[in-house]
Amino acid sequence: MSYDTEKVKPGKKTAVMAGLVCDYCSLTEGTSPCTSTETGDNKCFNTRVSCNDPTNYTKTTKEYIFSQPSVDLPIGENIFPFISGEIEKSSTSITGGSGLGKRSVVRVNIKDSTHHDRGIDKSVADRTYTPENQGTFWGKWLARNPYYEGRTLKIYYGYIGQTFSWSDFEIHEYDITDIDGPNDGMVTVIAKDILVRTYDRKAKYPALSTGKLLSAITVGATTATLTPSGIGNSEYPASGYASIGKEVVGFTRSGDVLTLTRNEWGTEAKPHSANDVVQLCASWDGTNNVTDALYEILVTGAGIPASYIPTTDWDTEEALWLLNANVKGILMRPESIEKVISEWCESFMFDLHWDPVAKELNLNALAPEAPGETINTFTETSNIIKGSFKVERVSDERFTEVRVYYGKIDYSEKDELENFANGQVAIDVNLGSDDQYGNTIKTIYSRWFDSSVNALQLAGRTLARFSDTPEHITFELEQKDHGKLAIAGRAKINSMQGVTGANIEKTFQVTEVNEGRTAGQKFKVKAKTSSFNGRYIFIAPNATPDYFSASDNERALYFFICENTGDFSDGSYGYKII
Amino acid sequence: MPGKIGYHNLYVESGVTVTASTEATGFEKENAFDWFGYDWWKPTATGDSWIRASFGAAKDADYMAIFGHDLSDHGSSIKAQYSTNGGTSWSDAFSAVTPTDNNTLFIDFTSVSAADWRIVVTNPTTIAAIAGVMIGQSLDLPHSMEIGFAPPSIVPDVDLRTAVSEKGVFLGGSQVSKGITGDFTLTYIDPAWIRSTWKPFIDHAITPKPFILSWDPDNYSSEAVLAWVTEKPRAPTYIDSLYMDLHLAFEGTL
Repeated sequence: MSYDTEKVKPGKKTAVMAGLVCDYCSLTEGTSPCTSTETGDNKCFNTRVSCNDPTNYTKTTKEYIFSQPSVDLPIGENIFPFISGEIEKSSTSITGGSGLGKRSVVRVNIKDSTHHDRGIDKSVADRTYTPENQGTFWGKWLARNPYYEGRTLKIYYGYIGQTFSWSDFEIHEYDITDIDGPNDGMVTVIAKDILVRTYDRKAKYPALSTGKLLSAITVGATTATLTPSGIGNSEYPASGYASIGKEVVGFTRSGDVLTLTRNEWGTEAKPHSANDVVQLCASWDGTNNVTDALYEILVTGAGIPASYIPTTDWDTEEALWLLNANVKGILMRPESIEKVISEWCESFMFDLHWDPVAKELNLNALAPEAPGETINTFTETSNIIKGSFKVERVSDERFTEVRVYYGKIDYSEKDELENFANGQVAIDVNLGSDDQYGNTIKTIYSRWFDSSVNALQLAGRTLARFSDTPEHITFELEQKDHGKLAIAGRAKINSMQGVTGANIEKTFQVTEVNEGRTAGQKFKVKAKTSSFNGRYIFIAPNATPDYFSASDNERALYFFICENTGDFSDGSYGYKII
Repeated sequence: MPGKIGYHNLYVESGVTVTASTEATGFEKENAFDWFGYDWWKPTATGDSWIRASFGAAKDADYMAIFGHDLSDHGSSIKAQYSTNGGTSWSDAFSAVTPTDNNTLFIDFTSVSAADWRIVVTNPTTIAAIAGVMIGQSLDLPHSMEIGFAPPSIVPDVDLRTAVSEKGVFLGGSQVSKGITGDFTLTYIDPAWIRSTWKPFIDHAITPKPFILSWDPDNYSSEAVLAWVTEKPRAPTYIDSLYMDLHLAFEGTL
């Protein structure tokens, strides 16, 4: 059986479990390579904090799985039936290209009790005390595992079939952020999606530099020496940009000696004192696509494993929608990675979100339907659960004029209007007229490009996406439909009335999928209108047949300009792009 | 027929020495008599495996029970044996049985007095695990269950959740198992029995520790459940000057 097989059964028996995956030493105390000679109560608990031979500490992981007491426990699996109530989960949410969105948060309440330590303490037989008479499960666990932050919380959503199988579970992974308690015999484990690693308190980019000026430099100086000795080779590349005070300097480096080009990135050359910090900058010169910059800042900056980034999918999205999305900008000093990504999301119109099942960071451009995109339809008859469909129209998200300011002048100054050299505006005169919505303005300041191509695209695409009042919808689906839609994907909903009162089909972009407290039974979906005003079409790729030989699907998808002769084979003139 | 309660367990009695034929790592023999339903004793080899309780003096027993097992999944059989010669030879307390499901198993047998007792599991090809083993003297209820008693295993507790579409079409349903709940009342009980027999059981139950309830072992032996109390049981009350009644509410699992 499998999760997908079980979820469509009408009498499915649901189960939710939680697994804490924490660090664990694979060695046995006193057995080579562990050199510890401790015995009895002084022996370690195979965790770092209790280790008696830290030099040879060999880190692997150990998973502690908890279930609700109501679950038909599979015989022979080490599962603690200590979960109290339901596992709470709020979904990650995307903004639709306006920022980074919201992190998914999971809360699991787990009861505390006495425990015999068997299966947990490798040396339980050597202890002089009786474990069930000394302390509680969580009291001991927290003392032995204080370094739980950033370790993995797995949530198992699934079913108890005729024969228990882990393949009947879908596993969602998150980062543990807190464990509160024990309070009143209970601990609460809190976890968030992996983008929590971009939070300000977790990581900044670029890394903090520790090199300083050996001696003062004047406004016109073109060389400088780093101190302490040797810091150049250990911390600075052969060339790049660095900030000293509010000035950005370009440099090439030989040992600790920098050859400088002054007042770069619009900053003003200033004299600098001995011991002023020479902070290495992170910069992108307008030839790096945002997907590459994003990879750099996530992997190098936030330490997110490269395996979490589906580069092939990112490349596909880049080729289709983000081809011109090149980043030009500089981080003069360590900044919040979350804030930078959020700015890139808005400047280049994409969403980034954690897929806890595939364990990937998905990147989706704000764009209309792609050629050949399959979109599932959800109806009032077969899918949408009674009483769950709700609509909210959000006028605050509608704009008929989009102003983009770009081409930052002085990168040491704030992102304010007077510090941008260029502006671009897109206006929908009709929708903004008094006969229709009336005018509303969205202003975007971007320090991340200086090309009018990016500004035009940002203004135009944002206007096309948000010039009609966005409709936010919420509805619930039975678990059989789980997997038919995904965050940032699209769904067609046949549940809204047209002007005649008949149901019409509309396309929405999914912004949240929330298993919440009803995991395995039903789930809540939030989505907002995905329409783009105006007409758009793709120019047919080279291999596409001529219009009269093309399939209906190809004719619907692509714009046919003309055949090789310049006209169509029926004698009609070819189109002109004017 | 009158029901039986199994709570007396030689494996945890004072002075016992427990040994096992084998035990897999993480499935130690102690797991089989710690009352917990979420850890297991599991031998390492197929064929006959045993877990033995030895005493310096003979102990009476008239029932064997196991809970939290998967004997049925493995086609395994089980029996209780006793030895009166220090383990040199063993006699069957009852013929081996091969469970047809993984539910709680309660088997009563003619009372025997012996210093060595063991449960023998025969695993033909793969190895079963057992969360709890019990051998001891059962508490025999004074009379049969009374009118109104609902055998707890017939309708287990489940949270049923059905989904219906906006247009009224059945979309599916799911259930969350909640184990079993039940209660019984017995009337016209001798107050002396309440004090000599019922009170020690209540002392065990409010520890709290689980017990086995086989409400009619003669006719419905397959309906035994592992049960526990979740709040202080109602105290037995006098219904006249000669008799009392008792009541027990419990939760549990099949």
